[in-house]
Amino acid sequence: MATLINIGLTMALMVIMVLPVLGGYFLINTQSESGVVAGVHTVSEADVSILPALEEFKGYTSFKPQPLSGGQYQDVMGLTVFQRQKAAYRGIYSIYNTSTETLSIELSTVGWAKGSEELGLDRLVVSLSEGEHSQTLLGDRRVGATLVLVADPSAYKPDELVLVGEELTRVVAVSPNGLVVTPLRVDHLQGEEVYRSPIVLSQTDVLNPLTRVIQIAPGDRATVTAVVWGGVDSSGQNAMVELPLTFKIKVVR
Amino acid sequence: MASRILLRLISESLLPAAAVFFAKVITVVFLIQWFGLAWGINTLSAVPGIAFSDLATTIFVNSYSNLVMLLVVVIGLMWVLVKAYHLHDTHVSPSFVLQLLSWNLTGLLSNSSEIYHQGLVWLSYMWLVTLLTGFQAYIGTNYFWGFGFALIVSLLATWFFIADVEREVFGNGNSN
Repeated sequence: MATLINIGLTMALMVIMVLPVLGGYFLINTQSESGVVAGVHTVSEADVSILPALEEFKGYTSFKPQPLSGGQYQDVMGLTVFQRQKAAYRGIYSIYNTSTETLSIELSTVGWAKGSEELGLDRLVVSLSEGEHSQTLLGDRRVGATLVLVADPSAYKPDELVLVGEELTRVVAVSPNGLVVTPLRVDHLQGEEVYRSPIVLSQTDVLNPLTRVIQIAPGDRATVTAVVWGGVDSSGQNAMVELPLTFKIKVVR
Repeated sequence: MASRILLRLISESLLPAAAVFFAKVITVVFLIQWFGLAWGINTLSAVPGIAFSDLATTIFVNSYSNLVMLLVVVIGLMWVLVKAYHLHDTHVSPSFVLQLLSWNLTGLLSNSSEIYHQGLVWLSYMWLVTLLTGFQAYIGTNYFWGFGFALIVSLLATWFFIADVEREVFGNGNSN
């Protein structure tokens, strides 16, 4: 009888010891497949359509897309760089929200896949936007100026990075008249493009690896624009650079 | 009759059991709130649990909540080891006893039975959490560094505990 009691007590002790640890183990569900968890929606190919501009820039661009997985779409975007010229690839990607929920999107890069060290390249920018690719300067700005005039300053936020022409600067404040930024280091002409929080790379460095996060309502679209400023290369040839991009897409709760 | 050791172990394990489980729950809730993570209850699984929108988030939350669980157990075990080294009635210094008396803290002094029962319980929980962390690291739901940290801490704490038992059984460096 005592033996039975003590066996029972031993079992009770084991249960008390193991139960909280097992409870902790099962508390977080670690075995569910992406997209089939009740109550949690991981973005799948049915929810978003990411279309590289295969025809519009044919011959000057290349793509190596991976299937959407775990809410991430990866591609290696190839762009032709023209010596001493600026090339703008507007709408190089179009992203359509084909789901019934609002999606958030962000682009990121880890740096050059190939090409930049072999040719003259001043700057490459990748911008993500809901509507217009960018705004433009409404007036000339001199070195040292801190007010950048754009048509819709309310679209910007303090502490955001903006690219004015080829110059990366930061928004200090937003006023009804324009953006108050850190003092400009070069002159800018009216009509130069102003990009919000773009990915920015120089020939050797990633100056800003992330775009801002934007939201797309069901049925709406976002676009990606890439602009590259060619420098001077000893060979004098135009060449292609390749940039790996990651699109992170989530459902907005 | 019922074993006194078992009854003692059962009574000593209730507090650690609650501490371990609630540490996990509180950490998960805190991480969800702090980082604004998307989550839901997976009702499709055999055991309903909290699910996150991607594996990276799952690993992140799981790893850090396991780490907090381990830290709670380590704190419990550390207290037992402090008692074993400094408040054990078999080798506490008389001057320290007088000091405790003056502070009215003689209740902190513990006997061997109490210390070793508590130590065994906390040590068991620590190794259970370490094994859980190791298993989850193996299946890819916990950072490997988390398991490495748990293993090192567990080994160290186990050794300190054994050292005190050895001192108790064999005396101060004197063997039988």
